Amino acid sequence: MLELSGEQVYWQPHMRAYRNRRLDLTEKEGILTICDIREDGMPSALSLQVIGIGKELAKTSGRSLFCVIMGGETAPAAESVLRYGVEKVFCAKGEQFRSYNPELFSKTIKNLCDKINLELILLGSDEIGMDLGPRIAFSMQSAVVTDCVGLRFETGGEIRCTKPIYGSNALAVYTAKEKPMVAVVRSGVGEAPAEENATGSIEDLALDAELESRIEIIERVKEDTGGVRLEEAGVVVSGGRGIGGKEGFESLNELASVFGGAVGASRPPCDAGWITSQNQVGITGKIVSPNLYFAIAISGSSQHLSGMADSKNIIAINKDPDAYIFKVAHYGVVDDWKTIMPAFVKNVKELIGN
Amino acid sequence: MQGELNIVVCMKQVPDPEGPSSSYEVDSDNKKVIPKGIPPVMSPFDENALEAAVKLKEKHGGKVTILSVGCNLSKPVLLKAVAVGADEILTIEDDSCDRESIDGFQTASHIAAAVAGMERVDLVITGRQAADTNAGIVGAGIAEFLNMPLVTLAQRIELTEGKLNIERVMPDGFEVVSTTLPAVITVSHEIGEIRYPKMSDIKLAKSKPHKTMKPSDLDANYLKSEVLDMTELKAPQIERDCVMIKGDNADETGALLAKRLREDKVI
Repeated sequence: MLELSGEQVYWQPHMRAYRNRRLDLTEKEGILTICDIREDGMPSALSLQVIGIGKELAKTSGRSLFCVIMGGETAPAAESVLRYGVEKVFCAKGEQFRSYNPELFSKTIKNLCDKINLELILLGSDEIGMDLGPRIAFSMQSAVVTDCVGLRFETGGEIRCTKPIYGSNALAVYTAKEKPMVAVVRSGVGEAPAEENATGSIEDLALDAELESRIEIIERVKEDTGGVRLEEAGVVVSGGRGIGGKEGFESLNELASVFGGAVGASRPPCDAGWITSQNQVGITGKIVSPNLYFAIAISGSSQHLSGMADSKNIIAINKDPDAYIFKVAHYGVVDDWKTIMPAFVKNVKELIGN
Repeated sequence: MQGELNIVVCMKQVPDPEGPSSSYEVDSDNKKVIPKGIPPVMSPFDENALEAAVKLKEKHGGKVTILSVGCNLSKPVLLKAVAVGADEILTIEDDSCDRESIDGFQTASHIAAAVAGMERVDLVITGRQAADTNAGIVGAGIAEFLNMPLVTLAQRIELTEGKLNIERVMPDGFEVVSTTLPAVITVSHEIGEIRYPKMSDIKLAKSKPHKTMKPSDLDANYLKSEVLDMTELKAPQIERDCVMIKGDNADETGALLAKRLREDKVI
């Protein structure tokens, strides 16, 4: 049991042959990934992507890969991440961690980070990561890069972190003057690693009894976006102003469901109330980079492009041949989407079915 | 909380983010983005923050101070913000506060120092992220340096019996959280668009107090040096050769598109 609040620390015998009571667990600097758990107790898809990035970086730089999990129940997720190659999983288990509380989570991680030698902390960029990442960095007076789309170690061992700025009109590469660097990684940048035989170990963190939060969570309200989370979807079918109304989004939903994907939108349909703002893709909404992105009746404002331009395959359907979206799309059709859709959906179903 | 609310709204001036891509010239040698022909504007989320602050002031009474850190800040942009319902302006201006030379960590420390120097502040509100760097870290820094609770991504703010009840955007909906004053809040666009100023308020804006300070006027105990170093800046290569699919009629186009995607192993 690892004592976070006090000095007395010991290791359970089966773990490693560390006899000293200090918590210098490795001579080499580590990479800590923060794993968010889903309702079913397993790691979120975004967290697995983050672990994938951490694993690659650890391998190429010879560093240790750690993971921290906070939740009401942590064992299933902890065992799962070990199979993805994590060397040590730290678990903070307790009712107070069942849902995200900013201060409890950030203080717990800060306490852990004070005890281990870290070069880099990685977490996924969603509404939780965007909140948590900067908190951790400031609590340690270290550097943070949010919406990170690339990470690498220089030959000298310095970490480099790439981030789009000015609405993706420029790409900046940053290095940290104060470590550990915290990188909040955009969804879709990493891939879940292949599963292997687990060789790492699980460490339950002794919790700081004095841990308090000035922020009380009163309630959680879920807004149904129709199944698959946008940031995690492999296929996103998005519509713009030209979709015309709620009914139009029904047909987009049909195409999305063929792929088990999610429906997105540019800002105008959300402002018009055709679809919830939870579905908005863009710099002021969700940033996604799925394998397949359909931009249907979307002209391609800079604000929308910033949220999807890194998708692996972009298919644009638009009546206007001069629409900016065709400059970033891989495949394009100039026509009224309503006339294209029936035959396209029918053919996709046949081809995928085969 | 007794009496009226003293609210500070942190606003960053940025090149208009609605400008076309061609208006951003990337100078890789000097690691700078040079805006071409686009005026500075208040960062849109900071406008949402101002609107949230003005609404709170209307309900509870008090004062809204606009706080802006930068170099050669545009006066008309500041006055526009005042006209919407702020009472005074405090700017921290200096060459060292130029957007290219200051990082979010430092900006947050400047703001914290300025707020610490004010008489009493109940709320610090800012946008979830600025439209230029899109980092979204300054709110967290202010809260940490001033040891105030922080709630990010607010879509609704209520103040009842001295406690804040805030709806916060979450991945699958929202959550309601409660915290005490003084606090730092970052807001998301869901909280509401900024109102249009009245003509009479635009005229009045010029007569509102405007105080300018330099970083050297601030309490040095709060000030930090930068923690991030930009090593490289490049223009992204996003223009692609789009494969255009066209059949003799819409049905054929739809079928051809599906086939092509299958051939290319995209689906």
